[in-house]
Amino acid sequence: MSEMDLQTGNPPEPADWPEQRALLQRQVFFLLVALLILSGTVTVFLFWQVRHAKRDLAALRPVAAQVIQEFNQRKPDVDAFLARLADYGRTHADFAPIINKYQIRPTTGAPPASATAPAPAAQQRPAAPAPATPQQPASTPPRR
Amino acid sequence: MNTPLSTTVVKALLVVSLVLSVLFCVQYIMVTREARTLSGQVANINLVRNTLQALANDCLAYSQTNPAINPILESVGIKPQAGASGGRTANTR
Repeated sequence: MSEMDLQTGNPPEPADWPEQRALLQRQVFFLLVALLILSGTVTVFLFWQVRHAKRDLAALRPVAAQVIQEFNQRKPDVDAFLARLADYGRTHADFAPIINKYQIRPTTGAPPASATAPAPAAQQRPAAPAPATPQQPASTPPRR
Repeated sequence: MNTPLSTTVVKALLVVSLVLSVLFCVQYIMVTREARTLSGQVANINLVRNTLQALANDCLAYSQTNPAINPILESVGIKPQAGASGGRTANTR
């Protein structure tokens, strides 16, 4: 320990300090490179995921739009049919089991549920698409 | 090798990579959310279709014993018009 160090109070600088500093810098650099490789891998993985998801969505979008549009087009007919069934059920007690099974209720002028968020089938009665209409055979597989 | 310049370049690349990761992540979330929404809507519609198909079948079975319901079924084509040839069956969707 030199006299200067004693006067300033600074710790003495080891002789191999520059070496250790270079070693530490090298380690930090390698860690940065490793982190860059890891991050790049994640980025590429996310890129592929986004690409595939976009492709799937592009395929799904027209099909879903067609199904929803069809649903909306036929909805008034189905609503009318269900309303007639409800009226029929009021005058024919023996039809009550079917009315109750499908929870068919007479329409009261309330706006029907939107096709974009159709209620579950068990609760949905006066809102349904094609099935009751003859134009769409039941053998048609669901398009998805 | 680990000069200040190379360290700076590596740091810059790292920042770019992280930003791209975040962008792709957000994009992925948005795309999958839309796909999930559309799939849910289509699934709900198919559910409604199946329910209506079952209703049509029940109505047809009911019409075997209660022909009074026939006009309603015929009006929507679930049951062929009386006297019509080659009418459709209730298996409609």
